[in-house]
Amino acid sequence: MSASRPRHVLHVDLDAFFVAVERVVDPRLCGRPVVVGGPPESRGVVAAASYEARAYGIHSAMPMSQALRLCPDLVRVSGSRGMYTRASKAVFSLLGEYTPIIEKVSVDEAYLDLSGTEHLFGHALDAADHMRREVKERLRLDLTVGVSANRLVSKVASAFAKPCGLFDVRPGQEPRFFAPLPVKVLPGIGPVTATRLRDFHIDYLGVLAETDRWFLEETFGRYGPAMQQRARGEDRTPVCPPWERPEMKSIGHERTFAEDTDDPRLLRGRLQKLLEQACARLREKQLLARTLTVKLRFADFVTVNRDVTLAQPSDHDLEWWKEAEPLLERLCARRALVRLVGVRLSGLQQGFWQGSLFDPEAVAARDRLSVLDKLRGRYGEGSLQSGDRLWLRGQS
Amino acid sequence: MKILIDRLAFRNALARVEMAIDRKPTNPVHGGVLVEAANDHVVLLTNDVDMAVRYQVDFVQVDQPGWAVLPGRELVDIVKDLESDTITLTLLDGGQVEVRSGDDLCTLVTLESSADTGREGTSHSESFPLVPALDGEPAITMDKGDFLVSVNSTRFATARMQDSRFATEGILMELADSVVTMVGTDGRRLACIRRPTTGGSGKKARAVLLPKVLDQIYRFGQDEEGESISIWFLDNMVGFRMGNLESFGRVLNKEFPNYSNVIPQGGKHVVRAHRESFSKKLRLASHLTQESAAVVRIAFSANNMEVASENEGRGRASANFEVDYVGEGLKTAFNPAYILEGLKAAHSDQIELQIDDAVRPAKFLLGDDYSYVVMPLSALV
Repeated sequence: MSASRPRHVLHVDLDAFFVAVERVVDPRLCGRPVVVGGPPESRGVVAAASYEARAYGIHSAMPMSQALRLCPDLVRVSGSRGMYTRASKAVFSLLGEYTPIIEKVSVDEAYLDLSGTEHLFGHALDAADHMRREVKERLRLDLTVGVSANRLVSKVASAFAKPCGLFDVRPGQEPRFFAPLPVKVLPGIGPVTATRLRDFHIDYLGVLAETDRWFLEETFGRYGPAMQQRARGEDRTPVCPPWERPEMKSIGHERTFAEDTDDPRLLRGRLQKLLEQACARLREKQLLARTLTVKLRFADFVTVNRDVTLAQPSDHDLEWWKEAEPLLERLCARRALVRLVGVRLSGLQQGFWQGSLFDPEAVAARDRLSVLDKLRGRYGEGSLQSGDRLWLRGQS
Repeated sequence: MKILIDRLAFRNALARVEMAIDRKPTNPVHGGVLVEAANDHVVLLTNDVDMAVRYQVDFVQVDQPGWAVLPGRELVDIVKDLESDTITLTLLDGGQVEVRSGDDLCTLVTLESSADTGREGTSHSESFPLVPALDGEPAITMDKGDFLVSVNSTRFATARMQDSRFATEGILMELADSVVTMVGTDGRRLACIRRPTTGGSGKKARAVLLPKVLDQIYRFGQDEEGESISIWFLDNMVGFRMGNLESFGRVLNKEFPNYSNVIPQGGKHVVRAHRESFSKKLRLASHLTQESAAVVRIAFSANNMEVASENEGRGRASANFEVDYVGEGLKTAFNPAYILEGLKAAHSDQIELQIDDAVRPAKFLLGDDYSYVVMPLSALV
C-alpha cells in the first residue's frame, strides 16, 4: 500500500487479431495478404488486415473495393464475431492467471497491472515474455507487450514493439524513450493537434516536453500542460478492472443496408437481427435493459428515433420484439427509402431476473434462450435464426 | 340552509370525505363536497368516480334544512384553519355560503345549491354524482378488526403500475362459504388472507377494487363506532358501512389472475424463523445491495439461515441467524424489499417459509390463514 511501491503496467495487443484467428482455423491463409471484412458489393469495409496486406497500404476501415484495387491477390474473409469472442476469452482467461487487475480495452487489447506479483512471476519483463510464449504455444496467436511503470508508456512501447515483440521502458527512462518519437504517437494527439503543433515546430515529444508551459496553456488551454506532462511519459491513470469501471450505459447495434430499401421484410429482418445481437450481448454481460430505442436513417440522411420502456427490464429478444415491431411501423410512416437501421438498449441493470408468478412459461423461455445462446456460441451467430431474418439472405 | 356544527366534528367529517374529492373534475360540480342538512344531522358526500364517501355528522343544530355543493379543496382548507369551537354555515341568496367561526368569516361560492333549484329542504343536487343508499341485507357482515387486518395484509402487494393483462393494481375481495378472501398481487409476489364472516346474505360474490377506497377505510375505520363492517356488492361498485361512514369503491372490470394456482401447497424445504430476527438480518443485508437491482442471497442449512448481499465497488454483507430447519439446505435469492414488506405485515412472531427449489415461488406463512408468495430472483447465467 506504500506510495513508493514500483508499478508494473503491461499493455498487451494481439497482432492482426481477426486475421490471426482465421489463420489458426485455416492455416492456408498464412503468408498471404488477408483481410477480414464485408464484400465490396455491399459497401463492406476492412475490419482487420494482415501485415502482408498492410504492405500494400491496406488498413482498417478502408472500403473493401479500394483494398481489392490496391492488392488484386487479396484474400477476403467474412469473419465470425462469435469465433473472435471465443478466442479473445481464451486469451484473457490465460492472462487472468497472471493478475486479476485487467482492463480490457477491446477484444484484442488490454492493460494489466502486475505490481506486487514479482514474488510469483519474477520481474514484470520476465512475466511478459512468459505470457507471450504461453499465448503463442497454447493458442497460436502473436501477442505484443509493452512494459513500463504506467499505461501511457506501455501503450506507446507496445506500438513500438509490433509485431510480436516485447518492449520494456525502465522507470526513469520514459522521457528518453519518448523524446525522439513524433508527437502523433502520443495517444490523445490526433491529426488536428499534430498539425497545430507542427505549425509551432513542435514535431517530437522531446520538443513538446521542453516547450514553455505558459505557451502551451495559452495555445491549447487546459489540455496544453496535460499534453506536456504526457509527453514526458507521466501518467497516473490506474488500470481499472471490471468491478471498478463505471457501469455500461447502453448497448447498441446498427447496420447500413447494401442498397437503400423500403422493403418491410428486409427492415423487419434487419431489426430482428440487430435486436437478437443486442440481447445476446446483454445476456453475455448478465444485464437487463429497461428501454429500447429504434433508429432509422433515411436515404436523405434524415434520422428518426422512437423509444419504449418496459415495466420489467428484460434481455429477451422476443419480449423486445413485441415492442420493436410497432415502433418500426410508426417510424416507417415517412415515404422514403431507408439507409440504416439501429437499436439501442439502455437503462441497464445488473444481475438477476425476476420471474412472474402468472407466467410459468417465462422460466421455460429463459431456458430456451440459454440453449440458443450456447448453440450460437458454438456454431456461429447465424446457425439458428428467426424466420424474419431469412429475408436478409444475400444481404451482408 | 343554515346549520351550527361543532368545528372538530365537521373537520373530522371532512377528513373522511376528502380522499374522494375529484382533483381534476371534468364538471366543476364533481370537485365539490355535497353538504345536506336535515333534521338534526348533516350528510357530506364526495365522489371522484373511482370512489365515493358519505359521512353523517349527528347532533347538528339545523336551523334551516337545505343542501349545497361547496368547492371541496377550499372548504377543507379553511375549516382546518378555523379556531372557534363551532362553525355556522349559512346559504345566502345568490348562491354563496357564509362560513363563520367566532370572529372569522369566509364566503364560498357554491357550485350548486338548493337555492338554485328552489327546492329548499329537499335533496338533491341535479348534477352531483350521487351514490345508492346502502339498504337491504348486506352480502357480508364481518368483524371490523378482521377486515382492517385483511386490508393491511394485502394492500402492500398490489402493483403500483397498471398491467395490460390483469387487474393487479386492485385488491380481490371474494366471498364463498362464509369466508372472505382478500388477495393483492403485483405479479411477482402475492398476499392472500382469509377471514370468516359473521353474517350477511352469504351469496357468493367477487369484486376487484382499487386500493384507494380500502386505504380510506383502513385510515378511518378504526375510529368509527361499532365492531363490524357491512359490505354490499352493487352493480359496478362495492359499498362499505361502518358506523356513520359509508364508502363506495369502483369495481375494476379487468380479469384478476388465478391466484389459487400459484400458491404452493407445502414445500420440500420448511424453515421456521423468528420474524424479528429475519427482518433485522434482511435489513442489514439490504444496505449493501446494488442500487439498480436489490438482491439478497438466502442460504439455509441445518438450523441456520444466511442472508448475504453484495454491492460491487461498495462492499458486501453476510448475516447468520438460527432457524428451525432440518434438511439438505437450499440457496436462493430474493428482492429484500418484498420479504421485508411481508414480514412487516405478519401477524405472528414465528413465520414459516415453504419452498421447493430456487426458481419456483416460495410461500411464507405469516399468520393464521395468511400466506405470502414471493417469486425468487434467478441469477443471469
